[in-house]
Amino acid sequence: MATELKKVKLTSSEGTEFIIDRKVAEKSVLLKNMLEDVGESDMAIPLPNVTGPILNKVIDYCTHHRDDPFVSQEDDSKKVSDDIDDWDAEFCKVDQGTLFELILSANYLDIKPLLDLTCKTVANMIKGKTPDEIRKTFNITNDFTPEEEEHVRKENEWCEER
Amino acid sequence: MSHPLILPELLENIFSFLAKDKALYPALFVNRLWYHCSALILWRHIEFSIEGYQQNRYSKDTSGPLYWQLRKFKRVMCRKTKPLYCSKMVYLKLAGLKISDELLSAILHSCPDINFLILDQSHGFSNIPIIEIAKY
Repeated sequence: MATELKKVKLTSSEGTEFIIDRKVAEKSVLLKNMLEDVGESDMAIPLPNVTGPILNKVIDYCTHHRDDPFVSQEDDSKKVSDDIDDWDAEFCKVDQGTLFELILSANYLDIKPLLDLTCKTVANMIKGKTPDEIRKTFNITNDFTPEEEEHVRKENEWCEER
Repeated sequence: MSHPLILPELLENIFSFLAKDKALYPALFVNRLWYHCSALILWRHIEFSIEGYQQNRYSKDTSGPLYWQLRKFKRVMCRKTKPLYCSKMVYLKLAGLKISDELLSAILHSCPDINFLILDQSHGFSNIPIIEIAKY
């Protein structure tokens, strides 16, 4: 119980300070390891890669999911993108820039369930779109030559659903 | 911070959620990086299962869309130049289908990492590739 009440101080890239429960902070494997290495400390942990608004969102997520059990890595073949619950779906209703920053922060802070949630959200944005629509959605330039594109088609057309 | 859609590790994580729904095909054509990341996942785990094969209640008709895909698959696997990513195959399930020795042999020779080759209720092949599997 004692660790539950302990607080942890974090500072975002602009220097904004956030004080959160240690249990919430420990959803991040990076922070969990840091806290274990450092032990008791009142020093704020600087997070130069995370902005205040994004850190705020990350903390929201970790607070909501603070009591979730740790789930181990599933087999790739069983992963699906449509098992998002209502709270998580609402959480991901953000603009693309925010969503991308959440992915990068979840990756940096090593919060696997948040990383998977945000990646699933992107996966759902890809689903049902043509390559051209995907490029438009994410502002990606096509760097294939027509010959390369034809080669990709030849090797992989077996997986196209008819 | 950089853009997550240019980091292979993150792209692969995104694509891993599309594998089961077979929604990776369009991702192959977006650009070169997307192709490399999605093809890795696409080729790792491949399944061709005819509906109803578990109850042995499937049609023996080989003109359906699944056989169309299987023929395309066989064509690329049996070509002299093998597909770039076929060496990444770990799992292949061919269930309830008519398959040839030629295809099985191509798989055995071009997919060194294959750990699961499931031929549930499939037919049409001889003992030759099976003896070869036994030697693995």
